[in-house]
Amino acid sequence: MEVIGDYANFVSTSNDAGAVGAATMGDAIYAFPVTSDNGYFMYYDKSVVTDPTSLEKIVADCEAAGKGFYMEINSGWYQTAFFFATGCQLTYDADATGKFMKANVTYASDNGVKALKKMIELSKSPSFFNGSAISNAINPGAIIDGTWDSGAAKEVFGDNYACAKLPTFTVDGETFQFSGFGGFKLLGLKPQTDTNKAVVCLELAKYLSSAEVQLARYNEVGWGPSNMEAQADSAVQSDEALSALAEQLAFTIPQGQYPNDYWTLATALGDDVIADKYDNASDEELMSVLEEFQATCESYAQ
Amino acid sequence: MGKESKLSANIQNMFSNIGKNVKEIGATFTEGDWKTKVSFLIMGFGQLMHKQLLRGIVFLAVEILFIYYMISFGAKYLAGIPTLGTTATYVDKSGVVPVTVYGDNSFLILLYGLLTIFVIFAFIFLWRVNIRQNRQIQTYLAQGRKLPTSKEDLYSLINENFDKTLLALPNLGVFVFIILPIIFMICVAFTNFDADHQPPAALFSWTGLANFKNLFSIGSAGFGSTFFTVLGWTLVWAFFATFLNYFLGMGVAIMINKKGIKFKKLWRTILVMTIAIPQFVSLLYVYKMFANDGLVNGYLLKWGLVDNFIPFWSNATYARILIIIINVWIGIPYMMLMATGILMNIPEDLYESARIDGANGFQMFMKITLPYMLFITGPYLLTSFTNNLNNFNVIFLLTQGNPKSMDLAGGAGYTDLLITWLYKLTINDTNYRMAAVIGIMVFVVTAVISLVVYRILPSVKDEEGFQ
Repeated sequence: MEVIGDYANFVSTSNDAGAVGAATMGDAIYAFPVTSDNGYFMYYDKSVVTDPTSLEKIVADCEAAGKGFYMEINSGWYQTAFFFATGCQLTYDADATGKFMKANVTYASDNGVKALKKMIELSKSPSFFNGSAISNAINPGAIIDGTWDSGAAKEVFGDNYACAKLPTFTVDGETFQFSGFGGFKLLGLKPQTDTNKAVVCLELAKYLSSAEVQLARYNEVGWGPSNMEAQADSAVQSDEALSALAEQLAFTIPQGQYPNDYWTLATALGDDVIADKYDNASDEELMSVLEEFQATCESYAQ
Repeated sequence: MGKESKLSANIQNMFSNIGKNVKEIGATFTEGDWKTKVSFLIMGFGQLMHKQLLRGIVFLAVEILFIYYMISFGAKYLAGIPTLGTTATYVDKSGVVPVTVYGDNSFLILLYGLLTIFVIFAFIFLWRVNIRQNRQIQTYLAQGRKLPTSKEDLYSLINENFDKTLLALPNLGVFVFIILPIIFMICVAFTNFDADHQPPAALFSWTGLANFKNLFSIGSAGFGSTFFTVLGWTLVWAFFATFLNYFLGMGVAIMINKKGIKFKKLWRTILVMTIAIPQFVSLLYVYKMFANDGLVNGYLLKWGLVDNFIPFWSNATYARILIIIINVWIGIPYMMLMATGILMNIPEDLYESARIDGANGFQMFMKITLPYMLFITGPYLLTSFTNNLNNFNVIFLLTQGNPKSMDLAGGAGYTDLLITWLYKLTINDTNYRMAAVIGIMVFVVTAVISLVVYRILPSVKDEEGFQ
């Protein structure tokens, strides 16, 4: 159900810009933001990784220590960290009803080829494992994960628990900073046929996304608030995982709307990379792969 | 009689049956008295006039219920079937808050419309029975016989018509839960019901054979090359899963059966333990065992047998081979148990006489054991093959059909069967129309294979020769 009038004002004035953008479709607001912590950064083992700012050094440290570097490159969510870092774009414009009108994809470019080459190089490392859930990781040295796993990460790494923003990587002599998606949790409302019921739903949603409830949620389960007043709270400011995330968020784009088919397509690309399909591919071959990828992405928007 | 002439004979039979029925209805009308003629309009009238109260009331109630159903419920859904709904759902933003006004629901129109069509057919059938009963009344009166009373009707429900009484409820259940959904899903294959056309927010409509064209269209956007890849792997998998399990199971049974082997029961118990653990549990563990950072790779790396982990599940060929091998592990016990039982039935003197004639082990197997086993388990092999065509559990629990690839459309993977691809299209993409088409294709493949193989089975042709 669309949020209009005073309720829309409430959403746009009390939450940070990224959260409001994520709740907007076309020019209408469709949800109440609840968290600004659905992005990803890096948990690592302090005793294994000496320099968390460079991907090559991290992977070398993991290989030397016999530990694993975990990143889910066959997920359309984590994969964008490579492509957005080198300057590629992949977004969709949707109208107010949720129909995708236009795709803005620039993967089929030199920047895209650089990102794909780095992804292939990473997947060939003997310490690379595809995954993002630390509870499934056997012997992690570093893992690209999110705040939802901060408790599990503390258990796995113990005293060596550390968080950092995503590192930089070097390809063809140039250095790029990992980018990615900044994500948000949103509270949506079911369309109502009765006005009174609709008002009750809106009031409840407004309360559940207010500063006081978001702060209580942080204290209970560690969810990073999207309400700007709650974000200024001292407890929130001093959380290690949340500050690493906040540092990384500066390099990310807020996650918009994507058609279901995009996620499947990105998994297909990642699976092909993991299956060593592009091991000895030339730059031209990689470019043609990306052209096919881009064309298929564009076909999902009519 | 050849296949073609049998089919045309059946069609001829059907038409002549309809012709006979129409003639009989016409005869009942012309030869009957005024009560019979009124029964054509008001069901049960003739029976009531002749004091068959139970039958009369039942038929009258059927007619009243049918008219009530059509007026209050059925007619509007039936009318919507050609278009599957015209009024879309919209949001009224004129008030304080947005309010949704629901329009036509294509899903309900299709479902209840089909139900109404079946109700109409059922009513026509009951009307026909009503006519036949009136004819029976006329005939009995002309012959001077007594008409069956209501009490006799009730007793017949428990005596000679007991089968109808018992089967009424199960038939209803089969119709509502199996037949109606299947017809509904076949109809969905001819619509555009997918993620962009989901009721109640949007409408879907008939698109004819467009989905079938999409399934067979070769080219980057179509499903054609993906369909044939998945179909090819499905057939290869079903072949290996069936025959490898069959021969290996038989081999294991023969080996354990040999005279010199001790602890027969122990070997059999060890093998049977595999099926004691549910596949849901054992296959998930096996999947984790062979993961890139799993047990098997860990030990291979530790013992220095490989330099890098073996990508069991991310390489398409390795994944396929590994699935077939793991399926052998869980499939052999069933076959072994069955083979052990059947082998015990082969008369020992057949083997004795073969040994006297100088046959070695392999010849005895090919000439005595194998023909006997094939004859007994021929139908089992066929059902096992068609079951493996749809073997959802093993594939989905081990690899979920992955690894995916840019070469495969619609979210299919290299180890997907048609049935697992259908599941993914339904659950992940809500692409119901393509899923329905693939479902029809699965049926066609299974039916063709079953019919062709069943005719050439020796079990069917050669029953006397076997004895």
